[in-house]
Amino acid sequence: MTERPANLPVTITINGAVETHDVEPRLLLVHFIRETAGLTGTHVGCDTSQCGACTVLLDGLAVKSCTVLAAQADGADIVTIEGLAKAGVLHPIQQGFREKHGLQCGFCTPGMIMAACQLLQRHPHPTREQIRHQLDGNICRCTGYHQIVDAIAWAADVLAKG
Amino acid sequence: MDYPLLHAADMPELEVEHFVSPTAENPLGVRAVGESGTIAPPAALAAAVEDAIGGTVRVTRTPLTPPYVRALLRAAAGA
Repeated sequence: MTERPANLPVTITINGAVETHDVEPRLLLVHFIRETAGLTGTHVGCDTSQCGACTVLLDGLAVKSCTVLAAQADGADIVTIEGLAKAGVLHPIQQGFREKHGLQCGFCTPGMIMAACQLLQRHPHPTREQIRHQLDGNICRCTGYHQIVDAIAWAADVLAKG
Repeated sequence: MDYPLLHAADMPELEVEHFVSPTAENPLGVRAVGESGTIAPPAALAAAVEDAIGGTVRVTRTPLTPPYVRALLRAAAGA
């Protein structure tokens, strides 16, 4: 019987709220977000870094949170899909998915939107090719991506107009 | 891995058009619509390859892997 490693104290800020918990060293960030912090908008699609449904912003960078240990994110500032809407008003990217029908089943949508967040921070006026390139780590099995690209292009226009 | 799941960059731009064919069976001419079937596209792809290689060799199965298409080309050359 191998002795289990001791739990680690971890402090992660998620959408502005500080979460301090003792967690197993092997706990994945996505499970910290979903189960420890109770924010289930971030989805687990594949658990193997392929599908992108678990994408969140970690210190401003889009990461697949199934590929990051909670302990690695100690001290980090995380933004999840729940952190985008302000005072009940959807973020322009969320609104874009609504306007352009950028989803069908919706499972991939949180990851798509968080990946799009990083894209629009880096490239406020992306070409459709740049949008497609940015989404290459996110899999959608419903839409064929067309309306997802439309949704993000719509959001880029809205954000550009301020 | 002949057909990996499509990513956004693999997918071409689409132009959606409506094919209007009202039914005479009800006053509004409306038909029920669900998700389209996936049976037709592989047949259409096979037919396209068949046409592209001259129409002399029948393409009767998918996936249209590179080795299969090469074999079809050789068969077409010999036909």
